[in-house]
Amino acid sequence: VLERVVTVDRPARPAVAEWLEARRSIFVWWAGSRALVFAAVFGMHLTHAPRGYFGTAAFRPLFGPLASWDGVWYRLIAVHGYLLVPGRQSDPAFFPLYPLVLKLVGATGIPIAVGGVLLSNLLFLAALLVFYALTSELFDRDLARRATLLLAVFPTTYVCSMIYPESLVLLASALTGLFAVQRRWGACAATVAIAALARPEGILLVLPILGCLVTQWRSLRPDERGRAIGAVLAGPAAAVSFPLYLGWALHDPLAWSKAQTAWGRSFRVDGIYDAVRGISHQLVSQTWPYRDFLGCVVTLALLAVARRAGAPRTWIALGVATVLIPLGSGSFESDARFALPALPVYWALAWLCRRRLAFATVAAVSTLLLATATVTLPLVFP
Amino acid sequence: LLPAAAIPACAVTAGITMQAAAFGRAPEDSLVATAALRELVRYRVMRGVESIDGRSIATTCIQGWFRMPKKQRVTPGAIVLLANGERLFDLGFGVRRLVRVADSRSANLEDRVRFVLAGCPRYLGDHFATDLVRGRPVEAVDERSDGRSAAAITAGSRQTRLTLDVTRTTDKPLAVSFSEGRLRGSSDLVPGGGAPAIRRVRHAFDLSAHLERARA
Repeated sequence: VLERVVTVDRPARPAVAEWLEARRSIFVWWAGSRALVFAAVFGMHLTHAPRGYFGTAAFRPLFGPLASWDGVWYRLIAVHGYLLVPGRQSDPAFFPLYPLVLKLVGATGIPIAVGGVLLSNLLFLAALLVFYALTSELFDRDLARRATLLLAVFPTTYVCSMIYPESLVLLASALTGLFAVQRRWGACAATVAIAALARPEGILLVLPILGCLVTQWRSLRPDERGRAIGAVLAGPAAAVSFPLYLGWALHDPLAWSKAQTAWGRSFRVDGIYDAVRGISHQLVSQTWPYRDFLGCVVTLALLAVARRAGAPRTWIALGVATVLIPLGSGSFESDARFALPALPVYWALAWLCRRRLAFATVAAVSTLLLATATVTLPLVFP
Repeated sequence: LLPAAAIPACAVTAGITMQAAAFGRAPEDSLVATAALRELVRYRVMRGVESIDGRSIATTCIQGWFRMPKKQRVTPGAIVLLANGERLFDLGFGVRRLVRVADSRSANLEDRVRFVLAGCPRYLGDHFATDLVRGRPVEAVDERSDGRSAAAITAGSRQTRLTLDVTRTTDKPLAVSFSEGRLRGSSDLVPGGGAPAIRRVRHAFDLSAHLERARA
């Protein structure tokens, strides 16, 4: 009997070790890329440079720049809740889940600024691991490994170390895709709801879920079909809960769109036209619009490549929508950051980097850009 | 198909419940203040009669976009004409007193208080909005002003305190009182102004030549 107990219990350990060993490179690249971001921010802390829009107060905390920009707003929501201030930039423009998690972190006694930075970095690690699992399901392990490592050093992932919800959205997006592929519709509904409560583009995950539902429809049992449809609707439903909550809390269910207007993010039918028309003037007179404009163009190009790589069409549609919808506000500002959850971009990069030299080159350039993007944090809005 | 309806219903319910539990409702005083701000920022002109240390004087404030002398860009700001001919303005560099055309100096404490009491809508709104946005406490108390049911909204610290009285029903501004250090004063406000009042202020600031009103 003892022998049997031993033989039954033993495989558990090697399984974990094997699991970790298979993902060792992901842990290493995550740690390396985050070390790079933290080192860059530490350098800024020591030198108080570049100053840009930051006052000295932003450099004083060890990793102060990581808690800056929208991080200030997320912390304010976590502490004080929501309030729409007419004609002013105010916090109902920010979706509620990330500040809600920050509030929970704050309740443990950890300062919210420290907890937020830790949380974002850990969520990013989880996102990388789940993205690897999803990519392995959709492609093969080699491509999954390359795509995950390239995501770890992707230039815009510096925001995944900041008090921003991008890590959470990335994790929820990858989990949603994974659960949909695995037909775990209940879990899929939960994760898409999380994504939709973290950022408005989380609603777009409806597309890949719908894609999975359509391809699997014939093989699904009737009860599975019901849960799958429920998962498709869960994202928009969760997003609707935000204006409903604002209606209860602020007596104004339209507070989100009013706050968006004050932030210059009101959407218009001709917004994309204005963004494209305006960018040519901005590129002549300013330097920074190049970043987001190039981010948009490169993302769209990589999405086209992703189709050749065999990425599901619905994921590509999600990527295109993620990049183009924000242009409806008439500006390219932050479009590079908004494109971060467009997962086919990393599949396309990995597909293009099948050769070692190509992979090494792209990874090196990406790492360099990641460091550059981090040190320019005080100069330009992420 | 029950799960198809139940899952989204659960998502909505859970979403609202979580948000309500985590953030609760906005404080009623803050909501009264934001309603007053919404009404206040509708106006571009404010007339008033302010009194400091028992001395009363009529004021007119116009806010809009102005061009500084020798500058091409227009900047948002507010200009105030007092009935005794004194001219105060703030174009983003603090309150200044216009001594003569194209010549100004920094305002002293009394001038700053006078400027606040002139009730320039956006300037007053900034005071309240800054506190509201940063989650600082804003207090709203029911009272009667000129025989009308009003709310007195107070923001600021013990050192600098600003109170705006608005009607309870329409949120229209009625009066403002301000204290900075030992200096304090109050003003009865009348939002909006006719063309003659605006013309008088523009003429006093010689806007067409030196401090041009680009858009008001």
